[in-house]
Amino acid sequence: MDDGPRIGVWVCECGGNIGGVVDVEEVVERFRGYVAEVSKETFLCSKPAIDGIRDAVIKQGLEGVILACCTPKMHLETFMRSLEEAGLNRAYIEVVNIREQCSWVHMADPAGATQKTIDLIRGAVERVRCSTPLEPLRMKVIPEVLVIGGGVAGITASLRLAEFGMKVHLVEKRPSIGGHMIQFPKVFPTLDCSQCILTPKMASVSKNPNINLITYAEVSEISGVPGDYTVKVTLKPRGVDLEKCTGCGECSPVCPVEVPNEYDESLGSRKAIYVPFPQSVPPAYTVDFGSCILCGKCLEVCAPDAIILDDRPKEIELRVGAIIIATGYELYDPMNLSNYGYGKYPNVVTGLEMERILDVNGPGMGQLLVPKTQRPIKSVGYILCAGSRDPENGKPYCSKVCCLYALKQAQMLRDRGVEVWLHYIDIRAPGRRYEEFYRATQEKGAMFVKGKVTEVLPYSEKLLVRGEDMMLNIMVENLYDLVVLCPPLVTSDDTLKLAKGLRVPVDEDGFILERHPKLDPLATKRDGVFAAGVVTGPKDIQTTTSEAEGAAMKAVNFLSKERLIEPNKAVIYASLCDGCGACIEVCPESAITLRDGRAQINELLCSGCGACIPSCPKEAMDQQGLSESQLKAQIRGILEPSEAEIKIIAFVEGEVAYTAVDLAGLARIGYPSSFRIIPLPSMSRLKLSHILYAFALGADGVMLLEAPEHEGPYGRAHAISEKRAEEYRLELEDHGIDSVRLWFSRIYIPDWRKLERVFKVFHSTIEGEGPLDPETRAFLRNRLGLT
Amino acid sequence: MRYAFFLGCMIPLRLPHIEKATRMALEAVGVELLDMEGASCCGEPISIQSLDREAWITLAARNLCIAEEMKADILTICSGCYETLKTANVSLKREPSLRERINERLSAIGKEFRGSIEVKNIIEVLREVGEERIKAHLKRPLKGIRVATHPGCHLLRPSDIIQFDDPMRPALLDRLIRLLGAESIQYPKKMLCCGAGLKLVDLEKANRLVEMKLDVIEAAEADCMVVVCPYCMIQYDLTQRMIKREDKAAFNIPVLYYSELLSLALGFSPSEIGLRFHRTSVEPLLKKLP
Amino acid sequence: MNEEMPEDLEVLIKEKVVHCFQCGSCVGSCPTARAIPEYNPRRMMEELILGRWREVLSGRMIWLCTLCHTCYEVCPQGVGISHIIVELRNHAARLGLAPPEYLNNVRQVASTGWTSPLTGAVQRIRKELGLPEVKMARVEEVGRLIELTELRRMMEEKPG
Repeated sequence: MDDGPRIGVWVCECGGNIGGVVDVEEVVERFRGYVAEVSKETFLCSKPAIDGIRDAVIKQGLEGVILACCTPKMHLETFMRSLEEAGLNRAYIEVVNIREQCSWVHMADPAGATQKTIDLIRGAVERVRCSTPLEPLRMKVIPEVLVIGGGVAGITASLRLAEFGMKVHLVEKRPSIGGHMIQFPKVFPTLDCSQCILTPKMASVSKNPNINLITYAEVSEISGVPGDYTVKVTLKPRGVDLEKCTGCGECSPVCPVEVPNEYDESLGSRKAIYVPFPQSVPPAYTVDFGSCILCGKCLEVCAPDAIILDDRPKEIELRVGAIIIATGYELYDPMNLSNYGYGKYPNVVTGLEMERILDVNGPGMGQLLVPKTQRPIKSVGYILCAGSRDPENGKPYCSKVCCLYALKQAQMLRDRGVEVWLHYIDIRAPGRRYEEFYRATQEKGAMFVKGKVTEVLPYSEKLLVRGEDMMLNIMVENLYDLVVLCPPLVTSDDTLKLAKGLRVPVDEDGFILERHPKLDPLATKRDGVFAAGVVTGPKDIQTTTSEAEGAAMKAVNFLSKERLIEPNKAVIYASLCDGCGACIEVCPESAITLRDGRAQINELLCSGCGACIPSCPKEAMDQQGLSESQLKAQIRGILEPSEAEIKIIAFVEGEVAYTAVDLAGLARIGYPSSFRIIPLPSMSRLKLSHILYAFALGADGVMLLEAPEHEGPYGRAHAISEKRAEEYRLELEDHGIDSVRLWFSRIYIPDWRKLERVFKVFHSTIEGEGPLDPETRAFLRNRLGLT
Repeated sequence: MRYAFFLGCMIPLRLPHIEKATRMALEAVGVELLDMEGASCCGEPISIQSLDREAWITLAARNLCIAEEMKADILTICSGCYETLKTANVSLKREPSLRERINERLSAIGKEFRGSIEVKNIIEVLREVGEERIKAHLKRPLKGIRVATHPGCHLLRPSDIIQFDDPMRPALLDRLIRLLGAESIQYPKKMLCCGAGLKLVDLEKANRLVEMKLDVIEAAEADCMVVVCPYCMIQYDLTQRMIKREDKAAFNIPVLYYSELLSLALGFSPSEIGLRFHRTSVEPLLKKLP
Repeated sequence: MNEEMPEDLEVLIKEKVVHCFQCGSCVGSCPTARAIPEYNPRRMMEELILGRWREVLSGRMIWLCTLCHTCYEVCPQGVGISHIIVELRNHAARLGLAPPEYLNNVRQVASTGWTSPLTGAVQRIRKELGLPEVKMARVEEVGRLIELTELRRMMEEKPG
């Protein structure tokens, strides 16, 4: 016995589940004298057994405990809790999986299973002897939330957070909150007035003491870590003092400058000093310095003296714990669809422009008029999927809301006696009361033509729309006063900029990627950053508000407690680091930065994947809880004294692949007992030296079982390991080891049946090759400086 | 149990042997059939309905009035008549304004629709007689006979008017087949229309529908086909003889009206119910009878 | 055909036909469509929705329906296609577009009370089977009623 920590080993018989195959007596005998305490239990997970271990720890002053039983996925947490109470540090507690990995899979080979059990326990003992105590990182969070975007998503999320008592900073780039929804006269499928339902919520935002409303501003920089972000916000020069402006509106009429009004999608006009729409929040005016000629006429009429014509941009700094991205969408630019003539003919408009035309307070003030020509609109043709479901000319996806808003507009037009034709590919109306809404539109006399429109041409003052009616198999050539294009909702440049700043990944269409599209759709891939609404893909208002409510609650949940962070982080020995930056390139979390010429790890960002460690040419890196010495001790403990004929080390990714191995055990799939499993966070944690070390100490083969690229818990770390494994195979050849002795495989959880074949094939390959020859081993030992 | 017996045109004027079998079988199981003085064509479901639907209802209403005067529900053994009379009866009961218009016309011949009777088909009436009672009269159970039923369209549809059996997966005719000891086989295209409604404008294509149906019935190795409508009867019994198939022998599938099969099971002889008047010989079936 | 759309046809289209979303259930279940591939009730509904009612009324297609009412049962939108077809035929007949065979049937009923003549052969068979003589229809009542309907004008306009 060496003078390391005093260790106790307990071996579970699991009724007959383990004891029926593994000779537990023999195992116990082997460790007697090797450790301070060794005994067996019928059921290690029973309360008396756990209490007994705890008592032994206290009475005998044990410093480490090895529990050989079922998979750690079953009881590790229970054991940990109980033994930590007894004063043991979690770094000194190891569960050795001798049920799923031994007794259940080697039923036909009790001797092999027993030898393997002994080897695995010895590996754990040796590992624990090299352990150092681990303390979880504790972090105080800032109990404030930044909501970016003042549309219906941002408004809803802010109100919910404020209601909960959370301090909210709501940043909106335009002079007023309200987003796109405030532009719609009515919303589907209820046809209620959207301004009537949204305006009270906007007013609540401005009155709520928990909400710091920051309009006409943009987030310019975000730094810090989840739970404690520092955010720089640039306030555009508004030219009006928000505190002083009473919203009386004297200034606007005297302003000589008239420019297109963004709120009316540029179909109407506004002055250079303006409110976007009467119920704007805040109600204060804004000077558009892009068009203002600084004539000063407004200054003369402003009684409260609120106008500041030499206003400059300002920057403010916020500290928040969590961020909700609710930056909404833009419309795909229909100028790209040249056959539809948008931008060429004034009577081709977008669906969003049509919302304004239909609004009683829109550019036509209630009259349905063609923009520019002002001709009355008697007939309207809709072109659905104008750029959506069209990977060639637009976006590949279905924009989801276009059918419904086109149906809504069609109903509004029919109510005013306008002839409406909808040219569609498919009418997609899933959702509560949406199909009924479609039926109601049919009843109101809208015409539906299946077939995508091929072109729009001018025809005197009307437009000729040409396309196929697929149902009649004829060409349709219809004349309309106005053609409405329904282009897809697309992500905005602002969203992309923000995503980049936050290092939040986006998908191929630029929408924010959910942490999990099914099971965690409101979280992004970054801790503490949430998303709601169209930023994650086209959706209707109903879904958007549900998401906003959910995102708000996720933010509350995230900030409601002190963050306990797993102490599984990478560490750098600063004295060895020469600042080459190789680790920075590799880190999937961008957790490493260069400071004073040396790499530095942000522990709050580091996920513990281990990918950086092999990248360091100076061997200056290590990992807490999975140190180089622990890993090597475990390999040595498993291999060196083993009496098995063929020995294979299988490094297994700890979540997905490990669970698959457990399931293979649960199904009692049989495979050769030559495999000894060591779990790792990802295969990218492995250095070539670990593999050489294994071969030097007795391994005849090394297997790497990695999680699928996109399914593992550590993102890109699972991707890069495959390339590394390829390089290692080449280097093995240089060391005189046939590359077939290193096997790399990815395994999905449902693919566990495949394991039987993988294990058997690799075993017989190694059997065919025979044990690694002693000369090579001696050469390796020499090379690695082993005695 | 007494019914105003509405024969229509096709059965008394073209297929009298069906009338004979029906009278014998129904009377044998205790149904009293009352002849309807002055009844005419039902109203004609194909041409007249298509030309002037209200004229169709008007003519049907006159026939309904005769039964009302007899204070008896109507039993009709033609599905065309059934659709006509039932549609008129149900619609006139349901729609007061229609009833008013039709009654105004009927007043010209001194009649008035009151809505006091029901219109029934032969399957409905036999179900009222009851399976037990029919069984008690059976002399010759038709064991081993494979029957392909063709319920036909107007016995079942449109279902909101007809309200008899499942409009797409009917079962009642098949039950009555099994009651006689025979087997009602499943076959594809069982619900395919006989095509009688197409005959007036496209005889060749109407015959094509007959051929499609007989093809599958032949393949299903049925001993006979059973119908409950004279239109279907003429399509399958008479048209069968006119179809010439490429590189295949002519069809030879006996087609029986349900009451004919019932008569055989009740012990009547083929000659007394006039089975010889079928255009497609029923001999192959008779040979298989126990 | 220069007529405006008859009002009841318009109502029928607005209340029923517009719900057709072109699923094709009717075609799939249609016996005529099996025998005559050009026959397509789905297409007919689309033409009505798009205002091509004149083409529909004057075409041959509406007369090819067997009135089996299968489409009526299978239509998921409750369009009631076979009823629509009856209405269309009624309208076409009013415009003098009915097939002569249909009108001949009416003449037969108007003159005899039956759709078929009573032949000597059938009389002989009836006697042989011991059936009673065929009860004569009250043809004057039938004729009187037909006089009161649109059938009268249809028969006058186009003698078969």
